[in-house]
Amino acid sequence: MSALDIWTEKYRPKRLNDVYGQVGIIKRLKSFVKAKSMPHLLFAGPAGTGKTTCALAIARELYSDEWGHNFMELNASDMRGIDVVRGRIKNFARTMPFGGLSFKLILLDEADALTRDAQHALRRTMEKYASTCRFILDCNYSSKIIDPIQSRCAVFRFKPLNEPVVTELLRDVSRKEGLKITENALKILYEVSRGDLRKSLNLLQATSSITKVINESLIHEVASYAKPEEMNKVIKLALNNEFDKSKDLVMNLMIKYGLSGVDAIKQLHSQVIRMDLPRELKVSLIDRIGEYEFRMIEGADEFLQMDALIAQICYLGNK
Amino acid sequence: MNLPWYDKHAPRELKEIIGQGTARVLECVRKNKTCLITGPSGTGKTVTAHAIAHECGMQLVELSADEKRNKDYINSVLSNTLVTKGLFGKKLVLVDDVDLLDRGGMPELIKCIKKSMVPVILTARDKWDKKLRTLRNYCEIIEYRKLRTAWTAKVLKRISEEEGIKVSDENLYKIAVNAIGDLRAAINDLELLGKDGEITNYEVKSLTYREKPISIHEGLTRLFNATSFEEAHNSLINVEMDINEKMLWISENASKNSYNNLSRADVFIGRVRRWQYYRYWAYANALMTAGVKGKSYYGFSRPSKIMKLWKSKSERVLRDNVLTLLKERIHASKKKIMSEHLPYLKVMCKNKEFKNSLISELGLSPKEAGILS
Repeated sequence: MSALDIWTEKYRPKRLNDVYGQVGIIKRLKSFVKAKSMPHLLFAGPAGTGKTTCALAIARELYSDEWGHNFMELNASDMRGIDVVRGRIKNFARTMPFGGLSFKLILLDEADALTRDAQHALRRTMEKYASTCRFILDCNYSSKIIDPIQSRCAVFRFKPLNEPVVTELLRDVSRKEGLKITENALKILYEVSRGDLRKSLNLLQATSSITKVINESLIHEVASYAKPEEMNKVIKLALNNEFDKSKDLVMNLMIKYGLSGVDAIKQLHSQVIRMDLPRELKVSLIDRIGEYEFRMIEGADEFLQMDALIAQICYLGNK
Repeated sequence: MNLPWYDKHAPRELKEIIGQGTARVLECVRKNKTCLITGPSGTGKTVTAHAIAHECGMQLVELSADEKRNKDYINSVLSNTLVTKGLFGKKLVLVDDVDLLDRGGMPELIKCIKKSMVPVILTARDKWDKKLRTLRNYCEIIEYRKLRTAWTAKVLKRISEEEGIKVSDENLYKIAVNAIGDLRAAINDLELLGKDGEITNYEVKSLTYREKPISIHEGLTRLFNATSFEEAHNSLINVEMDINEKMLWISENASKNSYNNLSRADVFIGRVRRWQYYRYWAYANALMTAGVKGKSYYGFSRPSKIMKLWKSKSERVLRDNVLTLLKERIHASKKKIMSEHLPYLKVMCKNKEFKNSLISELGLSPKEAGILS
């Protein structure tokens, strides 16, 4: 298998023209490429809507063969300290670009994972090296990017892709991979992934590794097998007063998926919002979850705080 | 002069400090090196420094725990002292209880001793204390041990003779036993009982009220069977564990409705850590003892968390290796690959052909390949 056999990479569009959806955005980005000049860019929007793809495509089109020398991709969530901004980014930014263009390009993926301090350092770097370097910042929530950075960027809001676009793409991929897929299965793929192309492609590839003939029930099966809603189970156990089982499960999940306490709390939170529970219970659950996120940040032992939260959920479920 | 006896009779010369590595300390001082003396209280750590200064006619500069020993304070006292010769003979610096420095104190101390030209003696209780991890690289460690009972008794005998107290050897021995290797405690007891010039059998018997270290099982039994606030509050005082370890034991064995108080206690512990404001421990301690009911009254289980975390560590390392390799091929962060790609990759790897080609493509070891199933 070549590296590209992961479909999200294999079918990642190389040029702006090939990017699915986001018509208005593509038009403006193309004008930057044409003029060979661009401001700093801020791409905001949900997962799997083409932010990284657009950034990579811009780099390829701007620098063509020399894009590797003039373009750096960094993932903020893997290294979100101020040191990265001071070290790697600065070192890259302060050297001259290679080839015909007057600036280099840095893609900072998941920029909303940068701490505020790092963002302020970044803002200085952006100012200082404005003549030799442009940034593209990717994020899910632009509200997590500090104002001074936002005001230095042209902001592009990526929307979740709509059903016809997703279906067209998936049909195209299925044809190229020699799959037989039903219309209903395509519909389900869209519904499960909610316009997230990465998710729908991963799901399609996972399903196709079992069989080349794909129907809707298979998609459902693979989806729930790959990403079982286990946090959901944690809450259900707690509401049924199964304290020990619930806290063991949540600890195992945290270990298995390498979740921090706050990561796990976030997942519990989004599960509670989606679960079918009485309105008042939901509100008081969310109140408790918020309180324990706060305690987790103030406290010393996140596992203890998680256990205490589970105890609270037990209590609320049996009041 | 009305000094407590343990001060009044403190050794003036090194040879009076028996059974400890004083010679090695002296050697360090002679060579202008830094040494860290570790050992339980009452074993002679501080008096060693005093005795050396006295014996060698050195000027002793002390930084003891009654000052707020933060970065600025340490810098203001040490930065000059350590690089200049004394006006009145050689200098000797003593920093007591280095495990209890304030915020920013430890890095500053290390900075100072690195360029020191004068001998420095540091003391601490436990040489394996995590806070001393870096410091250990910059000094010679000399470990003091609890005093043997016979030696303690010998010192007690000398003092009782000097103070003119009537007491039998047997009773001196009993006082020594009771102090468990802590000479200061023993001398204190001697002073307390001997104030009136005589120590009787009856008085020595009354000493047994003094608490000895108890096991965590004993402590938890006292805690979960306590009938009053005081009893619960004091139940774990004599358990020789730090607060974090006690917390693990308590939470492992606490009942469900105690968790709110445990959680509040943990918040205070977190604040101590963050602000180095140790008074918060008092609140944490009350909440995690008197605020807790047990799952049972006897038969306690050891903390399972640490074991679980430790077991999962090797797997975490393997997974991180795999994610790093995948990151070179997928444009996403490790976190995202873990949550958005890995679950599907695992399904794809049910297809043997795909799995084998992925393994050879990434160059995974068999153990790393295990992450994919």
